[in-house]
Amino acid sequence: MINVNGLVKNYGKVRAVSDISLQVDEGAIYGFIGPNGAGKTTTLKVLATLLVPDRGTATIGGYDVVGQPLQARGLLGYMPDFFGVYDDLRVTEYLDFYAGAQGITIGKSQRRLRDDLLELVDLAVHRDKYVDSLSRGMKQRLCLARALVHNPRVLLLDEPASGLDPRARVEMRELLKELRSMGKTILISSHILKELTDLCTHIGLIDNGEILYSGTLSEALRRATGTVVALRLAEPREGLALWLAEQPGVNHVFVDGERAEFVYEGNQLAIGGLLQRLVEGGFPVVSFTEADGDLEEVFMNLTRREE
Amino acid sequence: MMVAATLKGLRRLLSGFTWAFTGNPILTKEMATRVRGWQSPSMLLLYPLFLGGAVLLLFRFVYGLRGPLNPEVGWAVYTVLALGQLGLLAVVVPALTSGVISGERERQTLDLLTTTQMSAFAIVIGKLMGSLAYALLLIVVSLPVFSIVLFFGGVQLTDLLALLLIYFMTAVTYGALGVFVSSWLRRTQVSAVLTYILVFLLLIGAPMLGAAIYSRQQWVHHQSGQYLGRGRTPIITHFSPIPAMLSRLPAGDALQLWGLDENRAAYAYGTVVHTTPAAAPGATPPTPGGTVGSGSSGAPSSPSAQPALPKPPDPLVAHAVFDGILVILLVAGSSLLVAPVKPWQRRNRRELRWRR
Repeated sequence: MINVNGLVKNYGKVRAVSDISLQVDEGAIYGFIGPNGAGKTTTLKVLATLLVPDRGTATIGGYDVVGQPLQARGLLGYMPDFFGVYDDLRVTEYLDFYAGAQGITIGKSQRRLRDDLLELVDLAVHRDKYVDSLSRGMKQRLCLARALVHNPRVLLLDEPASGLDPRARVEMRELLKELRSMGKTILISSHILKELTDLCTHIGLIDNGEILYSGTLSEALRRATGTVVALRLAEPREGLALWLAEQPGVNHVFVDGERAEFVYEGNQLAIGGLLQRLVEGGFPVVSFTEADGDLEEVFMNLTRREE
Repeated sequence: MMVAATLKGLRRLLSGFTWAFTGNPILTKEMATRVRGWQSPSMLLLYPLFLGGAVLLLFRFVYGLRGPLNPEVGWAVYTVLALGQLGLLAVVVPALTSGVISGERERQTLDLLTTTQMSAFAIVIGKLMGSLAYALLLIVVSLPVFSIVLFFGGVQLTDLLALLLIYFMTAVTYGALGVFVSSWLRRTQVSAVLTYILVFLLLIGAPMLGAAIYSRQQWVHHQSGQYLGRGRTPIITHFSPIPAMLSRLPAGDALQLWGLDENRAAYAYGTVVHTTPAAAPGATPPTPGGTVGSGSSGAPSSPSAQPALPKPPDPLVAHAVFDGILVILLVAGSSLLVAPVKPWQRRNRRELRWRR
């Protein structure tokens, strides 16, 4: 449903996105994860037909976002990370306005659909309030309803939970699960990684404008499980980082005083062998544990740069 | 195949064009929200009362309402009203339009609009019409006051209609200018300042420059010893609606009442250059600034020496042509500035796909 191929976008001399390729199948929930400035918003803006890439192609439902932007817009609902509202409109007027902007005639059936949408985002009781009087969480949900007003097949959500309190985050997550059950294809960028774990079917990890991993969540978790090793010595020792880096199967070494973390590619037996060599090498090992494999670990492993 | 694709493209363009004017949701929204609250309806009520009050004061203290009502007084009041309302449009229209797009950017709502089915053209037209609707309402509510002068005679209904046409053109032109600057600049305050400067240059600066050019022409011709009639109105003069408006007012007493004697108003009348070889027998050398007769017929003062020249364009027509071209350019420019994907980028992409 979403296809990005070799996308490059520069802002002047700064390269925001560098040769990104990803694919999102129909009905998939794709979590787009990366630190600030990684290129998530730029990629989403290209997909939302708001930016023209310098190179590469992006299609939504087969429509090129640059060559056929109107057709692509018909298929997508976009929710930016920062957005404003018209403070002089009521909630229902706000949705009717965007329905009109999507070319939908406001009649009886559209009003019924709009009311259903307000029920879905739990704003039905606030339907006659001015948009400006809503809380941030309510505005986020209203913006999501706005993105859904023309019943798009694809949703592009840029940090939909940013700035929300914990309760509003939970409500937003429940809403996204509801949309997932409705069969929408969703591309969602977020920093709240643990929340994406039980929501996404696929993830893409992006850093410095490059995709580090793109695939199913289960594969990402499988890679993470048992590979991240946390190590603590009785006292800091020089040469630990160098020693670890020289060991076969050890990657992404990170040493901070007496603590160290690294990614180890090998089975349980090999990890035992590594511990034995560490002790024989004269390092006073206090603890040597495998980190829990969750999305956060995957993210940390893949985006950590060598010191 | 190519013809079918072209026809399909044209049909889509036409339907998009029609939708931008008829089913535009921005226009509906702007009109609904503009009259919400007490300020706008109050203004619509107070404005004609203010104008009416000004007319009464003018009668009472300037003319004293002595003697029978005569057309001369009617014309004088009409002139004040006409020019005053033009000034009001020059103040109100930039205020209404110079923040329409930059305001959307500042509010972070423009991205939400441009990802809908609305084209950049439809957004620009919706914003322009939505803002102008209020200015046009102000003109409409002022009509009863203008109709007072009909009692005095002298002012014809056609004069009033011509005046309305000038107001409409002025509102649309200055509105389009405000929308363009607002699309170009990111900050509303800067956009408002620049729009006011440009409106001032168009309204006052252009005819002033025109007058300077006119005087210079007269002086150069006078120095060269050529006989010159009233001279040709410099094109730049027609950039302002004032000459078009003056051309629909009597050049005589009413203008002189307001300090616009015939010489000064002459350039506004679209007159003709009459050049003859120097020192034509009986020709009277003109003074710099031109010598004019009343009216706009362009009749030479020394008919026997003058060749028949084509009639100059009507100032109203000349101004309408200028406004029309400017509005088209400004709306097209605004649409390009608002569109996230420019037409040439779409064409490039199609070529790329075709090559692959």
